[in-house]
Amino acid sequence: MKMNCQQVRELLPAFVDGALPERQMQGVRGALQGCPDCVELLAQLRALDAAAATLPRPQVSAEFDDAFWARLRVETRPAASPHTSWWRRFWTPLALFAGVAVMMVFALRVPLGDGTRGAEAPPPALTQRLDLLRDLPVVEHLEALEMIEVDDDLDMLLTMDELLTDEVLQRGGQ
Amino acid sequence: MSVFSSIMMIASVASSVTVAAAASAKRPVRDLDANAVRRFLDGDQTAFAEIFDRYKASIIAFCARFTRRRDVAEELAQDVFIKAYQHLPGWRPEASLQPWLFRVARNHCLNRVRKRENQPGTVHIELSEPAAHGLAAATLSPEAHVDVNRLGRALDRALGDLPEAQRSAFILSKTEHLSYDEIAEVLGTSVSAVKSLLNRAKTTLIGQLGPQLRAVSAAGPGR
Repeated sequence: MKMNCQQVRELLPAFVDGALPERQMQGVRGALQGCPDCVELLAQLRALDAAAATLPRPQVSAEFDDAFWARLRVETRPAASPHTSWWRRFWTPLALFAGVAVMMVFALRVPLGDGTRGAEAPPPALTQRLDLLRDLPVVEHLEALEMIEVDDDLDMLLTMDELLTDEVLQRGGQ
Repeated sequence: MSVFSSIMMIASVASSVTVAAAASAKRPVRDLDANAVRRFLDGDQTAFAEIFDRYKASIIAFCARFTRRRDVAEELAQDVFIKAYQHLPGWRPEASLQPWLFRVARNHCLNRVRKRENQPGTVHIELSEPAAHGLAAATLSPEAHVDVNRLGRALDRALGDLPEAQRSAFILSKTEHLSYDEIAEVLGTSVSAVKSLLNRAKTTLIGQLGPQLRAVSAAGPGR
């Protein structure tokens, strides 16, 4: 590949870095021999590289490592799942669930259990049962039956017995 | 020994070994990252500590280029790693971690700079003594070693004057050894745009540091 000086000068920075395709690398090498200015530029580029290798770097402070690890612990605490023990990962959701369940039971207990509303009005089922009892003849006459004296009871039963006997006889005669 | 041959020797040795070393180091680092991410996803918390230790200095240095203050850079680096920790559970192990970390770092830094809590260049960074480490130290003469250190300081100042995208591209390429593809990922642009950014950055820096660059080159390798 034939190159003029201008082309060589443009390619020299990448040539120094070894960043050209092999064909161009060879072309630059060949052209350098006939171009003293290109050779001088090449020398300066390489001296620049040597100087870059001596660029001062800041010393890492003695407390840098400790400060970083402390900060990492603080800033990544919620996401630090690898540090969390298995039992904590297991029990935390379970405890939350249990807490919610207790709260729900407590919230539902008041209307079901304390009976403050029941004292004012009996449940409908119980009202229906009382009405049925009232319809029974025995219950209707319960009060009157309680007033009857024992002797009166016997007299009445005898009278009824006689009446029934008469009635049976009459039916039998028919 | 002519000036040109001297320049070529020092520059080519430094540059070629740097590129080769960066390329060879890249693959194991990627594999280590992928391995660490997999272990982290399996619940190994020490894997994240590995990632943190591997990249903390680079991320702080990168942030310091924006803030010019170490304390603010460290605070931003903490933000980056906390974000990484939070996002890694959804991470694909085969994805490249390093460019993503720098991308997050860059976004955090740009947000901070936009808030104008810190004006780049107004407060000088608390830097360690620059050292011509690695290759440069091994291949340069004592005079060149001193000049390179001086050049490093000058380059540090000159980088502060570059547009942000050019500066980030240069830093990621030359100090963090990211490939053009990875730099494009960090900056959210194309590879050809990265080439262009680096070309302009280097042209500007050479324009500003030309005399010092020539001095270093002229000093040559150890005699």
